Amino acid sequence: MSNYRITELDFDNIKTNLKRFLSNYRDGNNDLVFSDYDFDASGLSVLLDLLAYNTHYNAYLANMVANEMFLDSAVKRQSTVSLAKHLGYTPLSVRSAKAKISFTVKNVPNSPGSLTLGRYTPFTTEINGQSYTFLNLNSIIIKPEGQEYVFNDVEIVEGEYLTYSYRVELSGPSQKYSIPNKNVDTSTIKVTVRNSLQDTTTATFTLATDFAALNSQSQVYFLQENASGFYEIYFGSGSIGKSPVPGNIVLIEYLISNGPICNVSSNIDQYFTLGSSVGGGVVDTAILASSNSTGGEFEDSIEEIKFKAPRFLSSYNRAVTADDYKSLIETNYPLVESVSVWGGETNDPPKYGKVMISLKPYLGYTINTETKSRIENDILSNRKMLTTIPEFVDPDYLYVSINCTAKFNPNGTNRTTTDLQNGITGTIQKYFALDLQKFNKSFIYSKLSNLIDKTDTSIVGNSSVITLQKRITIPTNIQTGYSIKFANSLTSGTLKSTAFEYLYNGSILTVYMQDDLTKSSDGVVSLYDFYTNAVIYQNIGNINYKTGLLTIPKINVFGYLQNATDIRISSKPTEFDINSSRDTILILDDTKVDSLSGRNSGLTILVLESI
Amino acid sequence: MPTVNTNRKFRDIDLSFRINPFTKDLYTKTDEEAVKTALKNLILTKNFERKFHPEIGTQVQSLLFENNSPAVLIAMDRTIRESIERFEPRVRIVDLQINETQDPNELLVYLVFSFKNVDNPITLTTTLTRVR
Repeated sequence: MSNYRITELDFDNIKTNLKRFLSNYRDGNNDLVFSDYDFDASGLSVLLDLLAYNTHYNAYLANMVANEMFLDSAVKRQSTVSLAKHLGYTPLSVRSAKAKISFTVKNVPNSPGSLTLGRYTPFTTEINGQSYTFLNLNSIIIKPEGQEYVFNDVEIVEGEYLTYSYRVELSGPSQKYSIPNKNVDTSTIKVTVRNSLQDTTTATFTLATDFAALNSQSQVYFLQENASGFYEIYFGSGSIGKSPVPGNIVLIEYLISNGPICNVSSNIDQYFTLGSSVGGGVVDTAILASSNSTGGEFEDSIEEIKFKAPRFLSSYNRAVTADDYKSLIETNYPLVESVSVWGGETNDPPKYGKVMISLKPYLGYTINTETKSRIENDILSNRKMLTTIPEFVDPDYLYVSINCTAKFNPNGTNRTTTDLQNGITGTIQKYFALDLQKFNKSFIYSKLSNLIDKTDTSIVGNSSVITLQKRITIPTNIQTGYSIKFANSLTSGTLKSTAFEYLYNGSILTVYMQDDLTKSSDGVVSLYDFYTNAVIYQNIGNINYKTGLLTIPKINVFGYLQNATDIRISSKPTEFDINSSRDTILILDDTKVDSLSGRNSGLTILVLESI
Repeated sequence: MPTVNTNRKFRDIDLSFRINPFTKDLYTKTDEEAVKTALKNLILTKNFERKFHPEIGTQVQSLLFENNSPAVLIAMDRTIRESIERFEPRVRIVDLQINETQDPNELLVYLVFSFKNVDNPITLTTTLTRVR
C-alpha cells in the first residue's frame, strides 16, 4: 500500500494511480484479475475514467471550499463578506453624492412665522444630459427674514427614496430584515418600529456603532450584507440592544443611489430645480449649488473588502496611530488614491497636538474643502483622541519631465517610429500611474529604462534626461515670499522658470528666473528679460543645490502670459533616481510646448534607427 | 504508451455488468472478445465524451446525422482507422468496409483485424444506427 500515492490532484495522475493499483491486483491463483486497464478503448478504462473523474471532482471541490475559507484566497463575494464579518467589517455600500444649496422662498401666502422644508423634498439637476433627483434627509424649519424665507446651505443627497416594511414574527437577532434593492446607500437608512398596525406609536432605531455602550434599552439596529448581496438589518437580543416583539411593524426607509455618476467638478456651475412647492411660495427655477455634488462612490468590490477588512480590525475603529488614520480614511473614503499621515511634532515646522493628513484623490490633484470637512466630521471626529486636531495638507507635487531617446532595429519590427513613440509614451505613463503618483514612492531610473526597452523587441536601448519641475501659483500684484522644495539635490546652472510679467521701474516686463552663474557666490537666482536675456534683477532668490530648496524672499508677480496660471520652475537633478517623501508625490509632467511663455514639453520621445 | 505482450491474456470487464450465476462476480471478457468489445467501445465513443480526454473516440456519431453520401462513408472510414491506430495498439487493421444496408438509416461496419505479431484475422461486424 505504501506504493500508492494519494496526494495527486490531476485527473491523469489519479488515473495512473488506479492503473498501478490494478497492475498489482491478483486473484487467489496469483493471476491478474484485469489486464486491459492499459488500453484506452477498453471497458475497464471507461470505469477508471469514471473513478478518476469522481476523485478529481471531489479534490477540486475540497480545494475550492478551502479557498473560500480564507480571506486571501476567497473568490466569491458572499465568502469574502462573511470572512470580513469576523473582522468586524461591514462592506461599504454605494454612497450618494451630496451637494449644498441655498435658496430663498418669496411670496409665501399668509406670511407664516416659520416655514418648513419637509424631508425628502426633491431637487432635480442635470448631469451629462441625464436628470437626477436629490433629496434633503431631514426637515428644516426656518424663521422669515423680512418677507423672505432663506434656506442656507441645505445638504441634499442624490437618490431615489424607497421604503419597505416587515411585520415582526420573531424577537431577537435571528430575525433578519432584508432590504430588497441593490445600490442602497446604507448611510441613508432610517429604521422605525411601530407598535402594531393599530397602535401608531413609533420608536426610531439607529445603527449600532459602539457595542460596549449597548444595554437592554438601546434602540439600535445592526447591519450586514447577506449571502445574496443585499443588505439586511437585525436587532439586538434584548439584553444587548432592544428587540422588537412579534406584532411590531419595522419600517425601513432608504435611498437608492447612482454613486459617483453624480459627482460634479467644482469648476462648473451646477443648478438644481425644486420639484415641489415649499409653503406655496415662489422659488427661483434654477438654484445655483453653493457646493457641487461630490462624494458619490461605488460599493466595495471584493478586492477592496480584502484590503480594508484587516486594516479595519487593526485600527479597532479608533484613530490613535498614523496607520489608524490611514486605515479609517481608506476604508470610509475610497475616492482617495493615496493617504499620508504624520504627527505634527515631526512636521517642519512642528505643530504640536496636530495630526497632519495629506490626501491624493484619484481625480485631480487636491481634495476640496467640503470633502476635507466631511472626512474630519464624519470619519475622524468620533474616533480620534480628544486633544488631537487633524490638519489637512495638500500634497506637494514634484513633476518629472522626461526627454527620452530610444534606438531601435528597423529590421526587427514592422512598427513605424510613430507606433514606437506611442508605445514608449504608454509605457512611461503606465509606470507613473502604477508605480508612482503616491506618497513615498521614488522614481527609479533603471526600472523605467528597462520597461522602455521591453516596450518592443526591436528597441535596443534608450537614455533619458530627467528634469524636475515645481509649479507655484503666486497671487498677482502682491509682494510675497516663497520657499520651494525640490527635495532632491540639483545640478547647478540648470534652474530656469517659465515666463511671467514683472513690474520693473514702472514698466511691465516679461521675465524668467534662472540661477546666475556670473555671480561669484553659488546658488544666486536672478530675473532675466524673456526676449533679450538681459539681467533685470539680480539676486531675487537663492537655491541650495544640495537640499534643493529654492528661497525667494520677496517677489511681486504682475501677471501671467496667455492662459498660464502658474510659474513652472525646472532644474536637473544630480542623481538618476528621484526621491519622494511623506508629503511629496512624483507625477509625470504634462506641460505642453508654448514658446510664448517659454514652456517645453513635459514628455519628449525621440526614436532613432540603430546603426 | 502501453506495451503489447502477445503472450499476455487480455481480460476486461463486460460493460453490461451482468453477474455470473456461478461465481456471483461480474462477467469478464477475455482475449479476442475483450478486444472486440474495446473496438466497439472506441467506434461508438464520441470525441469529447470522455472527461479530460476529448481526443479519444470517433466522429461516427456526428457523421450519422450527415446526409448519406460517398464522402460521409470516406470520412467515417478515416475516423475509425485513425482512432483504432491511435488508441488500440493491440491490433492491426486488415480490412475495413463501411456499407449501406437496405435500411437508409443504417450502416454496416465490417472490420477485419488481427493481433499484432499474430497472423490470425478476426472479423468484427457491427451496425451503426441513429438513435434519434
